[in-house]
Order: sequence, then C-alpha cells, then structure tokens
Amino acid sequence: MAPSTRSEDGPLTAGGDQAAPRPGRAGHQSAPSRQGPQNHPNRADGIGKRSLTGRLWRRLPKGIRTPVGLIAAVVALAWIAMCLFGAQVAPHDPLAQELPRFTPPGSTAWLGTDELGRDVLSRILSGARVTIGLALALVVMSMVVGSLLGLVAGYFGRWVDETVMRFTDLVMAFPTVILAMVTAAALGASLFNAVLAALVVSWPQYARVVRSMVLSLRTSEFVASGRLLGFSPARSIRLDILPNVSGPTLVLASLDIGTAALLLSGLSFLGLGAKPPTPEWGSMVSSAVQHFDKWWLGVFPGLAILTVVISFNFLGDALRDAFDPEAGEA
Amino acid sequence: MSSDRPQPILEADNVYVEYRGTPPVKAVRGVSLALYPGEVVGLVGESGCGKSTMARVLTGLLKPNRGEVTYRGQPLRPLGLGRRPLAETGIQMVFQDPGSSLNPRRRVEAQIADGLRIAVRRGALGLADEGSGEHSDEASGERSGQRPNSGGPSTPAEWLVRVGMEADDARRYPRSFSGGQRQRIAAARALAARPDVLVADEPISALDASTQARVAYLMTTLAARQGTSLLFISHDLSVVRLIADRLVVMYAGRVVERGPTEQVWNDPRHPYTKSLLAAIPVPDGAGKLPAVGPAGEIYPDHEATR
Amino acid sequence: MTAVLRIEDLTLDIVSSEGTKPILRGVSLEVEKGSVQGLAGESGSGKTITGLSVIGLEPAGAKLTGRIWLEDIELVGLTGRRLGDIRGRRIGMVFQDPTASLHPQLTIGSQLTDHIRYHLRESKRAAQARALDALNRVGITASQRILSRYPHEFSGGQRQRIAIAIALACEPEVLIADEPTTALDVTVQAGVLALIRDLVDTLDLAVLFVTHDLGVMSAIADRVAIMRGGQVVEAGDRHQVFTDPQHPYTRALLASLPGAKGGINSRADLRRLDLSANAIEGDGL
Repeated sequence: MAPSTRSEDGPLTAGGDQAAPRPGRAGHQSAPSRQGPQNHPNRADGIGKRSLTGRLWRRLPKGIRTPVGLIAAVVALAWIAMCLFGAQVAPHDPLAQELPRFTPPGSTAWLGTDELGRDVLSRILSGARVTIGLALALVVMSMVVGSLLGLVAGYFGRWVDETVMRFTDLVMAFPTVILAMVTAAALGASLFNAVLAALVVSWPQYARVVRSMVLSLRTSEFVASGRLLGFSPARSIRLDILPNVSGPTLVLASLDIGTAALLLSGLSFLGLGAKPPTPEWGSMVSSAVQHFDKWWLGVFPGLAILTVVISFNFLGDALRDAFDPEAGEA
Repeated sequence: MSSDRPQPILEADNVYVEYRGTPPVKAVRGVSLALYPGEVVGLVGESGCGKSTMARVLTGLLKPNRGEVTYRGQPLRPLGLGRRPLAETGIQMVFQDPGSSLNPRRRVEAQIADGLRIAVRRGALGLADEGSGEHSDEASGERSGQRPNSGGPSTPAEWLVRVGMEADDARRYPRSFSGGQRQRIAAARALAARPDVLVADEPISALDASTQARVAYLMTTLAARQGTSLLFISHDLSVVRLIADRLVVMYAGRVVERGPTEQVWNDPRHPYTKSLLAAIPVPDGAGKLPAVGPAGEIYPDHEATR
Repeated sequence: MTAVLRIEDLTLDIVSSEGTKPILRGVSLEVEKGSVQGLAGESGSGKTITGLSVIGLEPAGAKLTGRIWLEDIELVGLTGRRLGDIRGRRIGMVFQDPTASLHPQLTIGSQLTDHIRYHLRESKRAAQARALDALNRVGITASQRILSRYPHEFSGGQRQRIAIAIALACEPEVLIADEPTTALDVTVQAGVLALIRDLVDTLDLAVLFVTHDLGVMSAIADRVAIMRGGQVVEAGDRHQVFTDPQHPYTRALLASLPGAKGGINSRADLRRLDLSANAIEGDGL
C-alpha cells in the first residue's frame, strides 16, 4: 500500500503543495498533555495508541454523515445508554408481576404485559444490559482470543501457523449455530455457558483476518528494518505489527456486535441461554411463541434485536471509514 | 582493488538462492561479493537480475541455499525468529518503497530512536564521545547539525537536521512526508544505529528525478562521515556512477563485470554492461535515441575479466 | 505543420466535500502530425491528468473547463457513444503498466480483434488480418499461434509492444502515451522508444508523450512542455528547452539531473548540491 505521496522534497512540485505538508504542526502543538520536544528515545514509544483513539473520535462524524448512518448511530448509542441505565429508566420492575396479564399496548403498559403481568417495555429496557452487554463481552473475548492466535500464527509461521490454522479450520467447518447449540447443551443451560459456547464459534474469524494481515505485514519493509535493528519478536509485534492490525480488527469487532447479540438471543430462544425470569430478549421471543395471538410479546423484543443488529452494523461501517488508511491525520 | 586493502567487512562467498515455485526461480547463481571498510560499492542490474535478493542475503534477511556470508570474519547467521545478535546490528538496510519503509503508526522520533538505542547498546555511540549538554533541547540539534564531525547526532531531532530536515519534524507521523523525506528518515534511522555496513536497496528509484541525486549523495556523505561502508543497489547507472567507488554489474543471477567506477563506466568489457550503458537516455536535448541491442538477446553470463 | 490535437486553456478542479482542489490551471498544448509532444513534470504536476482528460478519463468529481480539439471536434463534454467512437478509434492510448492494461484472461488475439471489430465493424477474418498487421508493425513476428497466447506468456517489453499494437490497430491519428516506458528496464525501454519514434515517422502519428523522465523526453520528443503545479511553465523546441531553458523551474530541474547541461555530471557537481529537504527553495523559485 503506497499512500498518495505528497510533494516531493519541497518546491520542485506544485506551489499549492507547499503549505500542505505541514498539517501536523498545529495538531501537535495544541496537544496539551505533551510538553515540548522530547528527544528521549525511551519516551516516544507508547504514542501510537493514543493517536488511535483520538483519530477514531475525530473521524467518527464522517462515516455517519449519511442520514441513514446518522440514525443508526443514534439508535446504537441509545441502546448502549439503555445498556447502562435501562433498569433505571424502566417504568416498572421487570420481574414484578404487578399488572394485569396480557394487557395490549396502551396507557397501562406502553408495550403491553406478558403472561405473568410483567411490563414488556421494562423487560426490554432492562434486558438491554443482558443482551447487549453480553454481546459486547462476547465480541471482546473472541477478538482477544482470535487475534492472539492469529498474531502468533502469522508472525511465527511454519508449524505454529499450521497447528493454529488447522484447528481454526476445524472449528469453522461446523455450522456456527449448531456448534454453539451443541456446546451450550453440553455445558448446561446458563447465560454464562451460552457466552462460552458463542465464544467457541466466533473467535476463528478474528484469527483468520489477523493472521492474513500479519502475514503481509511481516514481510513489509519497516518490520524487516525493525528486526535488523535488533527488535525481539515481542517488541516487533508490539510496535510494528499490533498497531497496524488493531484498526481493521476493531472494525470487524464492531460489525460483529449485532451478530453476537443475535447468536446469544438465539441460544436463549432455544432455551440454552438465559433462564426465566431473566429479562433476555431471545427468551422473551421464545416464551412469546406460546402465545402468538398476543403479537406484542414477540414483536417488540424482536424489534429490539433487529435494531441492535442493524445499527451496530452501521456503526461498524462508520468505524471502517474512520480507519481508512487514506484518511488524513494530524 | 589494491593488495594492501584491509580485510573485507562483509563478504558473500559463492551464494546461490533459489525461490520455490514451478519452475523454481534461480535468483542468484554463485555470486561472490566483498565490501571493504568505508567504501561505496554500486550494485547495478535490471529487474530480476538478483540484486535485491543479494541485498537480503547480505543483511541476513534471507538464508541462501548455498554459500556463506561473513561479517567481520564471523559467519553471519540468517535472521530467524529470535532477536538478532547485538554484534550483527552493525549491518543495516534502507529499502526501496518510501511508502512502507517506515511504520505508519509510530512517530518519526520513535523510529529514529530505535537506531540510536541499538548504537548505544552496541557501544558504537558511547555517551563519552558526545559533547556536553547535547540532550538539552532542540536548539542543540540545530547546532550539532552544523558542527563538523563531532560525536555525531545523538537524538532523533539532531538526526533529522543531519538528513536535511527540521528538528520539529520529529513529532510527526510518516504520512505527512513526501517520498524523498521518508527515505531521508529511513536513512537516518539506519545510520543512527552506527552500522559498519549500510545496504541500500534501490533507495531512490521511487523518487522524483530531481531528488534522486540529492538523496543518493546525502546517504553517501553521511555513511562516509561515520565510516560506514555503503552498498548502493540501483538499476539506474547515471546516479550510481557518481557516488560509487566500485561498480558490480549483475545479470541473470550472476556478476558479469566489476571494477573501479571510472573503468566500468568508460570502458565496459562485458557485452551486457555495454548495452546497459548505451541504453541510458541522456537529458541533453540532442534527441538521440538510446542504442538498442539485438532483440531478445541473451548475453553470456560469465564475468568479464579486466 | 498542422496541429491534430489542440488543448486550449484547460482547467480542472476536483470538487469534493472537502472543497475545491485545483489540478490544472490553464494548460494549453498542441500536438502536430508526425511529431512527439513531450509533457514532463514531477509527481503531482498534473501531466498525467492532462493526458487522461483528452480521452475523457478525468477523475471522479472533476470539473473540466477549456477546450480540447481533435481537428474540428470539440472533445470536452463529449460522452457515451460519441466519446467511445473517438477514444480508441481516433485517439489511441498506452499506459505505464502493460500488465494492468491487458486483460489477463483473454488471449491477445481476442483483445486485438474485439477492439478492431468494435470500432471498425469488420468481419472476424478481416479483423484478424488487421491484428496480425498491427503486431508485425510493433516488432512482434505475428502468427495465428501468437494470437492465441495470453499476456503472461510475454515479457514486459513485449506486453508493452502489444499494448501499443492495440492502441494503433484502428489507425488513430493521435496516440496518448502515459509513461509507456517507466515500468521497463532501460535496455527494453530503448527498444520501445525506437519503436514509437519509428511509428511516428512512418504513420505520421501525433503523439502526446507524458513522462517524468527528462532523459526519455530528450530522446523521443520533438517539442517539450514542462509542467508544475497544474501549469505549463515552459514549452518549446526540445533542443531549446534542454540547452537554453527560460523558466527558473526548468533550470533548477535540469541542474539536479545527471547528464543534463549544467546538471550533475561529476562528483564536484554533487558537492555543490544543497542537501536539505527543501533545497531548491533558495534559488528564488
């Protein structure tokens, strides 16, 4: 990848380019946490990470500049907020059986009540923490496990690579949902086991993607030059490899949040995840199946799952734009 | 090559490299090459002649199928998975592509600091031979850039000044620099390690014509200033012949001619060298088309004697 | 002398959400029959975009003003079939990388004959005869067997010759050559340059030759234009531009080249180079 070269060594090129190669100036001078020029070799190392998050935030608006993208981002952020404060915002206790059973949506309960007289809205809002929270946890865990294996396989190659990747292929050869079901059933039905089962099926994609990125990075010139400068493998991975794979991996992870939520809900729907009375969306849909004439029982939790999947996908797209290698940066 | 020459610092002896494939590619077929302290050797040849493969063999990045590389009289161990032995960090390299020769995610100062750190650890840049107060601020960087031949730059900012850039460029990331500037930074990084040998693999080929001579000469003078031997690899003879003491011409995986630059340039002996020299277009406005050798000619691959 | 291709006051801006970025600022050029107009400049000078604009391949978001005349046809604003009838038929194109400009999965015979039949609406047999002619013309001894080969079976120099054969198969009046020898080795480059010169002389072709290499320019061009920052800063007869440059930029450019008059021709010349990264600034450009 050769990003567009700016001007060649100054004034032999376009006059217009003259001012351009200095965009970093203002940027780094205004960064308050860094004092003066530090020429100390040892202090300059950890800086890459900071710029990553800074860059992410600065670029975020661009990816969601389309109306659909903006709506999706707002919905995703709203769900994250519900994840944190859903239980506080909920009008009723999600477990209390205090309202008339099967009340249709209306003034008593906006989204109706279920077969035990619990408020559906409150259960959805409180359930956000369970469904989205666990989906996030699942994604983070699969990312860490998969990326580590991919890093090791890609960097060390040879038999390490062979071993890791054949194992990855083995896992990927099974249909995702079925393998997750079998694992969850074997471990016993509980939310924790459902997450473990989902982890088993979702790390391989990270291993594959990270490995292929590492493979191409490993032969790149700056990595070779680092090795010639006496970098240990650990240092080479930490400084030259990891910062260059982290962006795309985070994008992949954000695209995966929706899928993870769907998988966990699916396991709960099958009775392999959340147990009653935990307000989990998948199990809510599941119990609604027995009362399918009471449409609000299934439709609203279903809509919740749908909006999470869609909005987090859009958020992932926005992140992908933010990590576009062509994008400028101070 | 006079007989009172000291021992070569880096030497390749009868190296063969074959890349796997169908059919296998014989990239290098029996090349011997010696680099003596402080000299500049130009290794020239066209794409696929094996010169870049030789660069990777000489730096230890690639293990030859046959033959050996000797560095300071010791066999050079090809770089494996572990850390390179400290002594062997005296061999450094500058690569071709300014787009990937620097890590896009690290500040320039951090990358030059890698070179400085290894120089200190190897004892090639003892704190003793630095002037006093050099660490104080970037102003000293400016000063030391003009100070002839003292202990040399000891901070990234000073190195940037040394390669013709500005001290406060240190805080920036590689993407805000032009190709020529990035190659300067890459050279600073490699030279900051105070190597005995710098292998530069087509370091100017991707640059605009007007900056090529300048960057090439900069590398040469900086290497000379700290006694580093330079192996300068290029397909473009017109610049190399101005900076190299000796020329080595490769063709089809073998050395076909070598000798002092003036001799090879003015009196090429091998038919391939002759057509290579004749094919260089000269920007003199004469409108003379470069000479064309017979179509599809296969040249002899034995080395011309001089 | 008659100018077949005339570019008049061509201005091109790239309009995007970031704003308007000027790329070309009033470029004027003429290409005459039987001659090579060289267009040189460093990266980012606008030389390639100028060549592409002639064949309607300006980048997305480009706003093009000015005029481009192919004899009496105005090309700016031409679209669809009318542009297609000119591009490839009356104006041929050759690009830098023949590996990318030839389709890897089609035989060179089908690439040549498809092109010929599209533009000239000839029978398959006639198109094949024409394809063999075109290959012979670029120095590839043509046969039916050659036509059934794929691009990867040829060397880089041969591929570029094939690309030239395709460009010239419909006997265009103008050839736009964008860095056609940059990806080639110098010994191969010499052959391709000689071929282009020969085609210009025998076919009375008008060539716009875009390159960053002033050595190549000096070898092939009859007239030379030097671009910088989207403008032609100097244009004139080849000999005059190389030996008596008028614009300070041209002078600075030549002064930094090996082999040029007043350029870097000895170690002493190297020593006078200012080595700082923005060296030529001091020359008052």
